[in-house]
Amino acid sequence: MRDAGQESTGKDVLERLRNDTREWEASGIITEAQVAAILSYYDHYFPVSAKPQIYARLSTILATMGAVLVGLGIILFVGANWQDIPLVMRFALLCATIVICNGSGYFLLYIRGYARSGKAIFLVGSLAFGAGVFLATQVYHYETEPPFLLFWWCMGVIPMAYILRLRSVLCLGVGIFIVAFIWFVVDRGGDMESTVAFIALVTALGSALFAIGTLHRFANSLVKFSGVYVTFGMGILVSAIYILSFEEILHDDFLDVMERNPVPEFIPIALLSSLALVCWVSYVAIKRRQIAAIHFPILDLVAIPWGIMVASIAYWAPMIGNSVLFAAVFNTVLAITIVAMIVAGVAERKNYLINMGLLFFGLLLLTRYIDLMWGMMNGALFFIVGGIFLLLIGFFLERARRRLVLEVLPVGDLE
Amino acid sequence: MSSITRWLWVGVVALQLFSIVAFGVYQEFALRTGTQITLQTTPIDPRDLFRGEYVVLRYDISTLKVATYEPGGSGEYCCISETARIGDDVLVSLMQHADEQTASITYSDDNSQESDPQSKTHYVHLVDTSSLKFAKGRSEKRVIIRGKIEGIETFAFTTEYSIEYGVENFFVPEGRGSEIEAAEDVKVVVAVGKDGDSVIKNLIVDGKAWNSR
Repeated sequence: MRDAGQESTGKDVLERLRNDTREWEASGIITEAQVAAILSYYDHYFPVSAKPQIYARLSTILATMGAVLVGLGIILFVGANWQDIPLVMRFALLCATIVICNGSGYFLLYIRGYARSGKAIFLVGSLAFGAGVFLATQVYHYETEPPFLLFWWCMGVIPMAYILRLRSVLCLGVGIFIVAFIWFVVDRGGDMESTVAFIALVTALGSALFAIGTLHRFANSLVKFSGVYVTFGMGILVSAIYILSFEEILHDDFLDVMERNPVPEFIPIALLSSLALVCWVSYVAIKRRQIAAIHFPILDLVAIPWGIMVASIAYWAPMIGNSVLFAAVFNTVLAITIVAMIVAGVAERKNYLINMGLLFFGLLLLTRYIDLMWGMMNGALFFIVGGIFLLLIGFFLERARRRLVLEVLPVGDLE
Repeated sequence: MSSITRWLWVGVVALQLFSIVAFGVYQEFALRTGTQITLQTTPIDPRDLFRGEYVVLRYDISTLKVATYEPGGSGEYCCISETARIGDDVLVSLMQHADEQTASITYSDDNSQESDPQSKTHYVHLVDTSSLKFAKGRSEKRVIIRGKIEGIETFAFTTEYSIEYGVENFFVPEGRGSEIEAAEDVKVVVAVGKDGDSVIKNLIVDGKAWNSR
């Protein structure tokens, strides 16, 4: 048992450690996840009241959820096209909402020091800007495709995220950009007739986002945004590989291969892959001067060339034919990617990678199970066996996750 | 927050507001200064994910039929060349007499309105000028409306060009789209600017200006 003096010293040390780790993170020496791991490790030895931390987490989650709800409410309100308020008044109301949200966000964050509430209010402001874009084009019946409105929206949101250094706003901006990009490509069906070519393009986008994320680590002021790009990039990359693992998609696409000219559709894939490659080469070149090769983050080293390779194989596979062979190739690629994510998550102490890896592992198992079993048993039997199978997978996944997370976090932080 | 950051932040908020307000002002200007014509339409009723319910409008002038073997010549319309592709612009001559309810494609006596075969902009007007004499002395509105070729279908004797003019969506309050869809006769009042760009002003549903409230 510790006495009061010992606990007091512990708090001082912990306070100093908190400040030091934040400085190390800002300098790019350690990552945010490592800061959290270090602090939680010492929390265990010098237990101070858990209440402030619980309140901090809860307030962040609740404020963000509240902001998203309010923002979506404003967008839905615009969508309802309520005519009882005159047009000018609707415009004025929405502009006032943007100004008030930004003003009150500034007041809360920078003057009163309510960081979480302030950031959430800024998020509402960014969502309100999107509602403004939709209102402007709705009241004048402006004929345009939704992706252009989304591009307009994200162009107003992303600079705001960088100026105010708000990760939640960047998440919104990058998320809108990805939706707009994918929607735009889908809408341009005439230019991109092949599903596999479309997936290859999305894979290249994932690699490019990941690469942009890694480059953010070199500037102290940008390092906090790195995770947003890396997570979105990795998520897109694995999702695209998952879709490529379906033999039916490849088969349908391979039949149409003779009808398309492969070169024009490859240009955007080549451009995105080149962007990713340039970022990756710069990242590796600069990073090698800073750390020894042995300490190089596994994921940073392999994810980008891996994504570019998958995009290229996917794009040119129909020229070679044999959808069964390529389905086997992409299933293997997916399995390797999942294992690599889990290994990197454990090695680099990144829980989100472990969780993402396990999620896709479950999805892969479930999909292949349905592929193999469908047609061999009637519906009732399928659901009973499938249900039991899912329960077992759930149990084993939970056990595997507990074991893996235990390696990352100290006892007590498991949940 | 440093003063530079503060100014940048104020600048971005100002740009956000400016982009919305400027768009509104531009559209309002086009609406107030454009020549007003009325077009016959057939509505259908879908929903936009962000902007709510709207009516898709198809016009008589949305599909142009051109004789396949006489392009740019003596077909029904002049002058979409054989080189026309999806995405090319078309400038369609429209006329509405004071005693007519809707505008329709008309002749052109302007020689400059002949398309360059290599151009990506094609003029569309009637080749037959027999209506010219009939038209003299009547009060009329003439406009050239700009559209974009969205589809081309070739048949045995004709080629059909599907054109969009940027006035195909009319956003309505929630739950009101079916009213327009169920109407027997729907016309659209459109303001057309000097550059050919058009903005929807209102609908005329079964002979009455549609009240959105």
